[in-house]
Amino acid sequence: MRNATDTHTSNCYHCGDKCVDELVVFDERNFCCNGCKSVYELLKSCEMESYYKYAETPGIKKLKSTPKSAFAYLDNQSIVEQLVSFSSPDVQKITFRLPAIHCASCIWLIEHFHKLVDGVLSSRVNFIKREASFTYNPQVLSLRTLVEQLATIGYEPDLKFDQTQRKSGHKVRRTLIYQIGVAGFCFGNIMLLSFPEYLGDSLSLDGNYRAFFGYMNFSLALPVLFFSAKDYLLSAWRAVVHRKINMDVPISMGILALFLRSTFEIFVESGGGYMDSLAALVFFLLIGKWIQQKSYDSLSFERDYKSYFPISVQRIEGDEESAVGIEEVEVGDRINIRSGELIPFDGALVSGDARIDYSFVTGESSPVRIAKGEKVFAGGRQTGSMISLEVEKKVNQSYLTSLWNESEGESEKGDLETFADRVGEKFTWAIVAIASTAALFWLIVNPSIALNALSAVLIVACPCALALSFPFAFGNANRLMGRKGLYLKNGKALGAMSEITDIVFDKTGTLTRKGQVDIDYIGRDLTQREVDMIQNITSQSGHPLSRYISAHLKASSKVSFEDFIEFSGKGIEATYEGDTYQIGSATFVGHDEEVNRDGKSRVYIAVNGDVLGVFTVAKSYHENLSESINSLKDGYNLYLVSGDNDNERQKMTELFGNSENLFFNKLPHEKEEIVESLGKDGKNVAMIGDGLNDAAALKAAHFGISVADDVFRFSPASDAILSSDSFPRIHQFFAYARSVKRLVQWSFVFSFLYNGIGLVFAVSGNLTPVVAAILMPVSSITVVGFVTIGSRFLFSKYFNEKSVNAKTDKYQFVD
Amino acid sequence: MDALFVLIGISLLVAIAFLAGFLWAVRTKQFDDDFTPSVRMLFDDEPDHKEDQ
Repeated sequence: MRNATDTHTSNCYHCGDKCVDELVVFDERNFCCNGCKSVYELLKSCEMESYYKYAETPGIKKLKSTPKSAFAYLDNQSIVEQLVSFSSPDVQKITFRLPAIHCASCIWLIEHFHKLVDGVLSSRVNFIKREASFTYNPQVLSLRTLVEQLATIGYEPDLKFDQTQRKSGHKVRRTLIYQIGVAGFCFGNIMLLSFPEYLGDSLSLDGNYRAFFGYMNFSLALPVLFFSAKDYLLSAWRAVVHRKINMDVPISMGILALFLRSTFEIFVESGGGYMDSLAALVFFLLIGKWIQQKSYDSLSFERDYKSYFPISVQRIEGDEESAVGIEEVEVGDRINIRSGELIPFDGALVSGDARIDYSFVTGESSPVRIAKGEKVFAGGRQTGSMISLEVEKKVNQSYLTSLWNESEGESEKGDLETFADRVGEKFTWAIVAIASTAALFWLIVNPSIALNALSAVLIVACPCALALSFPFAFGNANRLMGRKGLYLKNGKALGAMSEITDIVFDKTGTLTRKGQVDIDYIGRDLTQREVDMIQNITSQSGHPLSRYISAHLKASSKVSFEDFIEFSGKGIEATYEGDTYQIGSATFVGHDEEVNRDGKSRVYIAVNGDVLGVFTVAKSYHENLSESINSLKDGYNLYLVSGDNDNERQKMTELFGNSENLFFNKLPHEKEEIVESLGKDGKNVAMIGDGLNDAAALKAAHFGISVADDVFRFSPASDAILSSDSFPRIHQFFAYARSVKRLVQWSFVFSFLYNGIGLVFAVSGNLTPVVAAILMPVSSITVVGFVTIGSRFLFSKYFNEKSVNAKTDKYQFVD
Repeated sequence: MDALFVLIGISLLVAIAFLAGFLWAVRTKQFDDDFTPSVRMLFDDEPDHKEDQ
């Protein structure tokens, strides 16, 4: 793209874009287009200029206007009822995803929506989730009008098929918060009641008090064990039942040993017990878990086709069409798909000019022409005018959906395969070995303290510090990587990322930038007049190549042609002031056909029959792509699996350095098979892709990254979402993930050191409550501190934070 | 020294009251969104002009 060389480079008051093509001056302010101006006008008329107060240029530029009919389906009451969360004659409540929310002004505007639209009773924004809940009076305001009004000011709700099916999803997070609250409450009180015990015999504690404190501690420990620590115990139990060992097994062993030993001491020996250590352990562990879970709420890593498909389609019934929910559509029904709409069914084309953009399915953005009677697959978007289809498969049986459902069942990534769990397994065997040796030794030497020694070993060996180093290191690293544009699903995903040996890339949309091209011109230099003509001609055509060229060129004036004919699939002919311009394929302009092997599209220019030159349009690869790929070559086996033909094989061979690992013309399930077969060879495979055609492979991979232009929009289910702009940093992310894993391994040294010290106390039978109460927090805090500071240090090392300009992302995350 | 039993009982009751407060706060969704309120509180109060008309 060329930079604007124009003299006026003022920024739009509403959206902040440069006013390049147009400059609308209104109210002494500059606007880049009439859309922005009219939103400003609307807000001003409602005295809502405060919108511009809380953030600079908060507006959202509307690139294309949504036709009025787009939300007609919201007049259908059965659809409305599926969407609203509460409904009575006077009040309805609904929650939308509004991906456009990005700043404080957005919150202000949405929450003051009642000033703008009659009938809105209240509205509430959840910024982190990019969601807003509206309460409105359906007798004054229909849902359709509400949605249309939101769309008018630039906040079009993301209404998709899954919205009709999703209900409450907050349960899990809240349970954890309850558990932390209860554990913290019990921990504090038990500490207080245990304090006399720390002072030992120096405070000659009356037997009554001692027993009383003991019973209090016991009763306070019960909710910790049965509520707060429930998930650890259940997870360990499940693992043992399946004859596997995960990290929760040694933790649960420690928790149970602490509880049983303490109960025994309190009730039989009237001693103090270690309930304080138990509560502290659970409390710290839960905080670690919370840190690890607290990733990006606003991003959804579990999305499937349901959050991509529309809620309804226009079904033809006799002479009329009516909006129906897509689940109600039966095989044999005829539906109308308008320009820009998504096709949710597999079907056959009945009528109309079908140019289907399968970019989300395949990554390829040039539309595909479909002849009458031919099959159209679900997931494509119509770019031509309206078409009619006959539905051949119901929504849950389409090719795309079946692909999804297939991969759903089989490739459930075993939780037990993670790094943390493998360490936990080794750890468990070590503990069991030490504990049983100690018990055996004391059984022979002095049987009376054998049980004591056994429980003491189990208590001390509880991998508290170890269990904390994972969530803190991974959680922190996750957040730091998010700042650079890679958003990981959770801490476990980072563990998986650090173990990767092989990386599989998709080509189109992943290595290339979606919708961006490199344009070159070869031939005689063009005069400004010719440039003007070419720009004007191409800007009037809907063909993607024309659009790229018209966006590439800068015209100084607008022209209306005397004659303008578009020969579909060939080119355009236009006449202006006696000159005839031809723009199109080689044969169209009368040039010899050239054999091209470089994968570039060619558009020839001719004036009055003379060929002036040719524009070559090539897919634009990411900047510094070869640099990133080269850095990844040491340390990883790289593969390319593309759904496209192999006309860029040569370029890819240069990039990847060999041709054996390049696969072209692969169907979605073949991609999945390649990833799976690598996995079966014992490789840990990372799949990097973008489209729905990669969805199955992303799931099959050990670690799946989906590349997205806008991380808040739909992207297929994966372990991580990579912002397309951050793709050139891919090698840094992988290197950082590996280094964080090494950091965690180093933290084990600390952890083992503390366990070793503890074991000395335990085996010799000297583990008093005060020793346990000091040792555990100290070990936890040092390990947590070590990994937190370490992951930050490594981050600045790998990402060279000072030299890289902080990216001013419009969609900022909050840490 | 028997006062100690009473005092501990009272201290525990106070602590339970705080716990109950916390549980109530979670239940009323106050922990669901820990960012938006921090922005919301900075908005100026504005008179609702619709009512004046």
